[in-house]
This record gives sequence, C-alpha cells and structure tokens, in this order.
Amino acid sequence: MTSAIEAPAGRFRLDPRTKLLLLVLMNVVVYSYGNALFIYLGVAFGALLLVVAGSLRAVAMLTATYAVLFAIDAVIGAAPGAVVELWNGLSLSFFVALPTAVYALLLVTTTTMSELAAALQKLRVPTAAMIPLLVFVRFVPAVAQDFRAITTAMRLRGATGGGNPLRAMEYVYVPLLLGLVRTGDQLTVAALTRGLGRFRTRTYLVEPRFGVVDVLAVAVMVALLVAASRA
Amino acid sequence: MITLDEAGFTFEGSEQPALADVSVEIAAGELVLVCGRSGCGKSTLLKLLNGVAPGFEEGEVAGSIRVADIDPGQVTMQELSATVGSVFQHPRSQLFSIDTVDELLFGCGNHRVDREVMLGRLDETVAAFGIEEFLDRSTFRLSGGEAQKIVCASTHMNRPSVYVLDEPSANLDDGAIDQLVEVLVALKRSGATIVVAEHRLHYLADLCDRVLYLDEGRLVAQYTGDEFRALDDDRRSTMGLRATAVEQLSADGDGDGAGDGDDVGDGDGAGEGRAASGESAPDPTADAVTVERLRCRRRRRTIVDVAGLELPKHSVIALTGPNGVGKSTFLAGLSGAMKADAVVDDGGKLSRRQRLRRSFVVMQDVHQQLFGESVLDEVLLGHDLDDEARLAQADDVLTSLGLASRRDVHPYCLSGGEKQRTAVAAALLANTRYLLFDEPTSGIDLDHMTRFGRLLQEIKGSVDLVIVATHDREFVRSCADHVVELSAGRASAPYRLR
Repeated sequence: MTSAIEAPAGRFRLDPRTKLLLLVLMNVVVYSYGNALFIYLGVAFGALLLVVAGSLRAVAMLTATYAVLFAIDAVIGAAPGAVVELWNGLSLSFFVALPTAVYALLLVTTTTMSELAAALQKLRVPTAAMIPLLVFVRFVPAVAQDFRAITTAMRLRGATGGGNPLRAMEYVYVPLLLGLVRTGDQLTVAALTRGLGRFRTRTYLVEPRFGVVDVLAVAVMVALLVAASRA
Repeated sequence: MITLDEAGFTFEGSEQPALADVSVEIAAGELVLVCGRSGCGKSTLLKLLNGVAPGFEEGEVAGSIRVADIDPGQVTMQELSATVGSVFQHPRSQLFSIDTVDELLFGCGNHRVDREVMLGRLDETVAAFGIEEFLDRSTFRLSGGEAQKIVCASTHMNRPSVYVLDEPSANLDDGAIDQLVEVLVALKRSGATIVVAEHRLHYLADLCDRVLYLDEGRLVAQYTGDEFRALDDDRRSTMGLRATAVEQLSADGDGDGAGDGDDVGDGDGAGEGRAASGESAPDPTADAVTVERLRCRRRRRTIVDVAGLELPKHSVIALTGPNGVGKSTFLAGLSGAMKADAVVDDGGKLSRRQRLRRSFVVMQDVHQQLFGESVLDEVLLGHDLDDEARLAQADDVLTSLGLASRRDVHPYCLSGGEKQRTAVAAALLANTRYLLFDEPTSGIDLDHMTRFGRLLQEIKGSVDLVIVATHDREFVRSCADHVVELSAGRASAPYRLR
C-alpha cells in the first residue's frame, strides 16, 4: 500500500500547469504559424511525452487516426471533384484539431483530478470556472464511451441516413448531445457532493511542484515556437 | 440525527410538489430504507437531505429540515458534503479520477484535510472496505460492483455522519450486491446514519431498522424492520414493491403463480406447444436456433466460448450470469454486431450479415439508439414516410404497444418504459426475427417490471427469438420461459421455468 501512495512522486511526472502551458503553446504553433513541419514536430514531441508518461493507448489511437487520414488523402484524388472538395474541408479540421488534441490528451490521460484541481487553484482560477473545467475533463472519456455505443447502435439498426451524410450526423449527434446533458449533470452533482470547490485552496498528498522535466519540456516547445515564427 | 417537519419540495417549473408533508425523525445509527413506486418522491427526499435540491436542482422547499443540526438549505452542497455523504445510481458517472487512490483522496483534498490525517483515513477506509487489491488501479478498469465500492469508500473518506444512497444497486449484479451489503454493514458498524432509496429490496430487508413507504409524494406508511419483513407477498405487490427476501428470487424454484401471465400473447402457438412438451432441453428441431459455435474475443482474451446451444423459438429466454461474464458480448456476437467465430443454424447456416439483418439489440441505455425526430419517424427509420401501407402498419404496431398517443412526441421526451417499447416497435417494423435485450431492467420498480414481462410474452409469438440478458433474478423468475446461464464464457443448456 505504501508503494501505491509513494508512486506518483517517483514516476516521471510533468506538473499539470506545464501541461496546460504546453497546450496553449501548441495552439499558438498551429493557429498562428500553421507551418506543417513544425506542427508535425510538435505532434511528435507530444507523442513522446505521452509515451514517457505511459499513456500508450492514447498514442496508438493517435497514430491510427493519422494513418487513416493519410491513407484517405493518398487515394482521394481518384474520386469525383465534389467528394474531394468535401474531404478537403473535413480533413482540414482534423489536421488542425489533432495536433492540439495530442496535448489535450496528455493533460487528460496523465493528470489526476486532485493534481488538476490543485494546479488550477494555484493559478488562481476562480472556483466558478474551476468546477466546470474539471467536470469537462472527466467528460471527455464519457463522451467517447457514448459515441462508441451510439455508432454501434446505428450500425445495428442500419441507420445510416440513407446515404445522406447530414442525416447520419444527426443520428449521432442528437442522442449524443441529449445524453451528454445528463452525464454532465451527474458528474457535476458527484463533484459537488464530494466538496469540490469548497475552499480556495486544497490539501494534497504530493504537492505539485515544477521540476527539471518541466523546464525541459517548456524549453523544447518554446524553441519550436520560435523556429516556427522565423520559418 | 435527521428531523423532517412537514418537509416538501416543488421543482421549478412544476405545479405539483414532488414531495409534501413528510414528517419523520431518524435517530443516529439507524439504517432507513425509503421505498415506493418510480416517481413516488423517494429520490426527492434524498436530494433534500444531501442538498442536491435546491442546491443543484432548483425549486421551492417547504417545512423544515435538519440533518445533523444543519439546515441543508442554508449551506452550500460542498460544505454539507463533509457531514452528508452521497452515493448515486451510476457508479461510473461518480468516479472522478483516473486512478483509485486519487479518487479516494479527492474529497479530503477538497475539505482541506491535513496530509497526515488523510493518510490515516486512507489506511482505515482501505481496511474497512477490503479494497487493497483495487489500489492504484485505473478507475476505467473497474467492474460495476468494484466501481460502486470505490465510490462508497471515497464517500467514507470524508467521514460523514450521514450517508444518503440513491438506488446504489441499480446497476449491480448479485456478487456486486453482496459487496454492497458488506459496505453497508461496515458503515453501520461505524455508527453512521444511513438512508437508502431502493427498488431492489431483498438485500436490504434484513439490514434495515426502519422503512418509509412513499406514494405520490407523501409518506403513507412506516414500518419497523420486523414489520416490513413480515409483510406478505400480496400486500407487498399491491404496494408496488419488489421481493424482500432472497428465497422469493430463486429462478429454479417451484414457480408458483409464475404461469399466469403466459396466455396473454396471441399467436404464440409454438411457445404454448413447447410448454406442453415438458422438461429438459428442447430437441434440435426446426423450432430452435442452433448456436453450433460462438467464440468471441476481446483484447486477445476469449470472452465467450459457446458450443451446441439450442435456443428455443417463441420463448422468452433469460441469459443470466454475473456482470462481466460475457452476456453483452454473447448478444453482440450472436447478432453480428461484433466479429465472432460463429456457426449459427436457423434452417441453414447464417452469415454475419444475415444475423445482423435479422437481429435487433435493445440496449441498456435505450436513448442511445433512438435517432428519430418523433416516435413515428423513429419506427420508420430509413423508410419512406409516404408509404401508406407501411404507415398503417406502423400505426398498428404503435397501438398494440400502447404508443399511439405518443406517435408525434420526440423519443427523448418519453419515459424509460416508453423508450423501450419504441425500440421494440422499431424492431417489429424492421421485420426483426431475433429480438435481444441487454440489461433492460436496471432500476425499475415492480409495476414496470411486470409490464415489461407482459410485453415480452405478447411479442414472443411475432418474432423467432426473444433473449433478455439480465442479472436480475427477480425479473428472470417473473418473466422468463427459459433460462440460459453463462459462466466463464460457457453457456448451460436452456432449462424451462414454466
């Protein structure tokens, strides 16, 4: 049991505030400069951090998504013009969203709730903003679960929208969104009845603190940002 | 410990109070069971105690409420949570953290409990709940019962003097309920006051000191534990309450009175004929679907490995077994939703595609499989709304399932039972031959359970297979014709109940 408690300190761990900062910096790299080379370097670095933190499933998911995107991209040229147009629009949103999603994944899958709450309080984020933020983080895997269940149900019912992609999207999003309201409420109530946000500060087993790894990670990201701005 | 004086609550936007005129006194250390039909106000009563109403769900509080000398309306939910601990129905939407140790410590951090005290409590709680083996595990890897145990334990970490549990067993199987009983015993031993609202009563009947029975928002009866245990079956079912003793649940009992719902259905000649033919497994004749082999693997583990299983047609088959034994996987494999090594014979071998076309799985969260804008749209999904014949057929089915008046309502606005029936209507109209249900009876009261059982009996004549995956023994006993037990991925031969 002692080992279970001591473990977090011994493991390689970035401070949650560092992860937040990396997420912000990556957003700047993607949205301000949009240089593909540096975006991919950023993705690679994020994937490396995920691997080191032991979140292998997230890396596998990410790799698979990229593989599918590239594969479609490679063969899409043969399709009729309208389809190519549609794909270009659709894939752009993926290519823009995925790089930042890597860092969001890093934050979500490798940070405990206590750590995140502590980090946000240290950053003096007001309680009114902290509670929905924490609920949102916990929300992401719940959404993923619901999404899988709904798409399975669609396949089972043959509810593909009769070839109409808008219809098919509606079939996914309506039950998803309606279910999310419920899940969100349940999570919020669970958080409040455990006392989240009662005080401005909290106590912890292991105090989040910046270390050498934090400095290194931020340095790499800043270097990437500077290089991207010069390119 | 708890004093309610003419307490009541009216949700915002509602005219009718959800709860009214409840006066009751609960002493420290008592375990009180709150029961009654769905919508009787028992959840509302609990929400008044833990501050969820009006703290989260807005509305008007009436009368006076004191919990451990606190007026829950006068403090924040967070502050109240140090004194009143809450456990809800869905364990998964209460788990907050990615690992169990952090989950346990989360509340203490919020309440600014000192590090040393926190560690001391962790040791105590881990010992009291026997959860050493779950420590430092990912919370996503816990079974339903394990998750609910961790939820209870993390509530215990705050050392509240009052525990409020709202249908904690709704998603649990027998084994997990045994764990829940252990938890309740441990809490009771620690001197805590416990208020539990439940539909499934058998596990609580022996444990409770007192029972509050609510009906239409009012407290209409109170019993001591002994009085409640002495209630006879007739009285209990007129009150709309489920079984209070484990003996009343056993599936392979003598089945007294179980046959009376059997003749409700029309045109279930095959089922009736079978009933006359007697005991034991059915013959491998044309009136059975033969699962010669069904092997399903998930993450390189074999979950289901069934061979030579005869599933009788036109019979309500209960597929039972504890959580995680592979009931859902069995349904997914049989229906073709999941890739499986399967040889299924129904007047010829069926490909996965054919099985997919013949099957309809009604999921536990039915709302996740309703996509239409209205009930009518839903049941005609993917079909032309202008097709007169089809429309007439849809109206027939909706009428027979008691949904005619809900025809133009959005599926999301339906009650749980209505959603289930809408899915069944959609299945019937899609010419489904294998109608499969995945845990349809979580958290339902006696009335709904009886009605659902009747529905199954009515439709079993119109489809070939009706299989209900469930861990609810009470439901199996009251509604099923045959039982197939899954254990360690293998299935027993079906045996008759009636």
